[in-house]
Amino acid sequence: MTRGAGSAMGSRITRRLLAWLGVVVVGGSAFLFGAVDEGAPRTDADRVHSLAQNFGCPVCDGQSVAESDAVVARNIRQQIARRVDEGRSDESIIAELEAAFPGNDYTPAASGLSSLVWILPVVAGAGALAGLVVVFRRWRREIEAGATPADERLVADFLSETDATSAQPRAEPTEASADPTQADPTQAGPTQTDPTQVDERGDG
Amino acid sequence: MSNATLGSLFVALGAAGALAGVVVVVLGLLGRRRGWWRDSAMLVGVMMAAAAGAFLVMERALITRDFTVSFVASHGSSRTPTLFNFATLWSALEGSILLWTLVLCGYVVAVVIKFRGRGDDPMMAWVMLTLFVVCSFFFLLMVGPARPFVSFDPQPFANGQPFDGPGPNPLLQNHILMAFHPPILYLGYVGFTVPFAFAMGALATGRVGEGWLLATRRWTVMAWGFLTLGVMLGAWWSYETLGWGGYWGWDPVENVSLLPWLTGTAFIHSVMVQERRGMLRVWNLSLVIATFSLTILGTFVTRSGVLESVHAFVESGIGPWFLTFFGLIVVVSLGLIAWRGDELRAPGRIDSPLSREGAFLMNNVVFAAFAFVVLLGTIFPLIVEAFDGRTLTVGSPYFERMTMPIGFVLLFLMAMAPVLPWRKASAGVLSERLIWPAWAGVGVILLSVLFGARGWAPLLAFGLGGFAGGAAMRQIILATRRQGWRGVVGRTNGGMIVHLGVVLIAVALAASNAYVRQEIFEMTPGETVEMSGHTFTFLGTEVVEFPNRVERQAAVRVDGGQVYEPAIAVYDFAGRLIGIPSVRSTLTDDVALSITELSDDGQTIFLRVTIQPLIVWLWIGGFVMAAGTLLAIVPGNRLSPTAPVSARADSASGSGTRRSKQLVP
Repeated sequence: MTRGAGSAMGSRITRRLLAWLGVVVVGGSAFLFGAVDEGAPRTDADRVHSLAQNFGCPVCDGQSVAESDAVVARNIRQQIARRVDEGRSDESIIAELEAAFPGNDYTPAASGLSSLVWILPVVAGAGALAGLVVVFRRWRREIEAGATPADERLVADFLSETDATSAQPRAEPTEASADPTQADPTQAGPTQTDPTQVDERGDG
Repeated sequence: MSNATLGSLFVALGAAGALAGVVVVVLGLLGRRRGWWRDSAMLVGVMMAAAAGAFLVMERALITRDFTVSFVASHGSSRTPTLFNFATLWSALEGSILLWTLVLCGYVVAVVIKFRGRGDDPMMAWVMLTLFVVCSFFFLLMVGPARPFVSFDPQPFANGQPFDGPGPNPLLQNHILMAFHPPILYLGYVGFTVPFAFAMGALATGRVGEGWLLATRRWTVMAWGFLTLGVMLGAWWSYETLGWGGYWGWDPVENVSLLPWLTGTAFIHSVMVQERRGMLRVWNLSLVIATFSLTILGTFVTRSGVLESVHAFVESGIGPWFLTFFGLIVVVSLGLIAWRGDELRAPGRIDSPLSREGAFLMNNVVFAAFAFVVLLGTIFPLIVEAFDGRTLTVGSPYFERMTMPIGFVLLFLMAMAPVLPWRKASAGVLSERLIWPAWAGVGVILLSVLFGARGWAPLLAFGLGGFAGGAAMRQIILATRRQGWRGVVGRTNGGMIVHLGVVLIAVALAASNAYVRQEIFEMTPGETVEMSGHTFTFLGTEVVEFPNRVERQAAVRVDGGQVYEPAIAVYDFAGRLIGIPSVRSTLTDDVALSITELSDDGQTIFLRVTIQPLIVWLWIGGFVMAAGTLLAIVPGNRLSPTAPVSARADSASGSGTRRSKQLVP
């Protein structure tokens, strides 16, 4: 590599580092600014609406108090508005409603049997992640270990099979594409052959 | 012959055809008589003719208002407008099963035509057997618990008026989307029967390689596209007619339509890993089986009334039938997978999590988690009730809290996956390919903050949306630069257009959820109220009579300009009273007006005003997704699904040479 090419490459890497630094600084600060500043304060009407949305109408099929036009729903909306006016907290308003109309709080309690609805997905998600970590580790070990005798036998079997059958038409040609080398180029997107070249041509 | 008799005959003929199909294929398989299962195609013709005949007879009965058919007497009426009268067929249980069966038979005919050259293949025998069994189930439903053609003797009313029916549920006859949403949703639901049948065929014959996947690739994508469009149109319908300003309430019926969509989406991604690397065989089979069985479970939930839902327009005794069928599918499929266990163990591994296949694997885990959360939340009330008899509701706060992080992860993966190469990516490649998408994300955050968007959740969603959109745009630009107009067709390129649609929807969802404002105003004529920079002037009410309803409309001037007329409609025949909202849509925000109460003298209204940004982009995003799906199923210019790359690059044929020029710069 000539010195000129080397420094050109070096400056390209520096340029890219700077570009990523820009992403982090500009994006991060804009995000922080927008996330910290809460904007217009929530009005009482907003609170009434969001509370009504989170409580089921006791006489309707699957509609919240905010959605329903039933008389009960209207009365509950008025009750929520009164409580918000009195300065009560969201939790105490919902607790009062749930005491009066049990089973209609849209947020399942985080205690007792109903806590399972919160816990199970988290447990399942953690299990799935742990499983992924385990398989990727195993795959990595296998790659580092190289081909096993079993692998070599597989390849030998396959080669002798293809030699034997290559003269005949295949019974079901579609089965053949299990071999990754036979995959179709149109389906792979630009990463199929030599994507970096394409990209460099594209990005300058 | 009366419509009821003729229709019953068609249903019986269809049931006989489907059952005969099952028998013929089974006997053919047992006796290894290829001719038998090949000729079962004739029975498909019988089923199709029967289903089409039954459908046409029912439409004729509806259009001519033939009240001697019980279905027409209970759901039709002489006052229903023509379009909704036609759509009445799928407004109630028996008719919707009829439509389902018609769509199913249509798909079976398409399978027979498409695979006519493979009639001798045992795989096709098992495919046909599966299809005949599913058809038998639906025809038998129409013979047994959901008979569409029952005779009725319409008597004149006591006041001497001739008999007239009540018409469909008022909610199902006040918006044009009702004519499109159910049939399109069914095209999606039912379409997954085809890949399911091929999966069963693969398991039964032991040919569990990639053949069945390749054979059904377009069918799956098409069914998925219809399902996407169907779910989106359902959300739109609900927004335009239910009058609460929302489009998705995490209602059980909405959830069960989302479930097959989630597993189907996981499937169309993981399919690519199996095609390319031969891995994930069991997983892909499981996803296809899950998707199909979830459509059956969904129908069970919608139609059995086990869960309270705003969309449960019909309740009936067909619940046990569907539950049994669902159980049968699950048991048979799992049994087959267990039986083929050894052959399903695929060689191969994923070299690095930072690779296209690694990203697809992550995508699948996340979609599976998504489906798990939705399924658990939907059926959890039933579980709790079974255990300690308590009633409990799992509603939007649960689903929103649980699915929000999942949505963020999916957006992030959507940005990463398209630029990742297969096998393994280096940091250099990633940093080069992701820098422009990353700047797109930063640009979107900056613009959002400048336009006043606040709050970490919506800003994160916008930023990730920009990032994912940038990645998709980058792929499309590169592909079109290389291939011209072909850069937007084919699975990968069409898929990128679908991604753009998803990004639009994600951004619109985040914005409308985070910045929704709703208030109810008590108003008298002449009064003006202000909300979020919009003004609303109540001008007065008027009564308008339609053939099927009386509307009391309130005129409300929005922002001093156009007048909108939300109304309360009384369908006096059915005795139902429903609100009809009026929506002003613009590209930036939607103002939805509905009346919650109206005094008898029309002098006082309670007006519910809902203002949400970017709503219209939900529907635009849905149509972009549908368009992307269409582009994805347009055949690329390959010769056959298995034509190997090396052969083409070496060959001197015209297209081969052209291709090699395109791919090797």
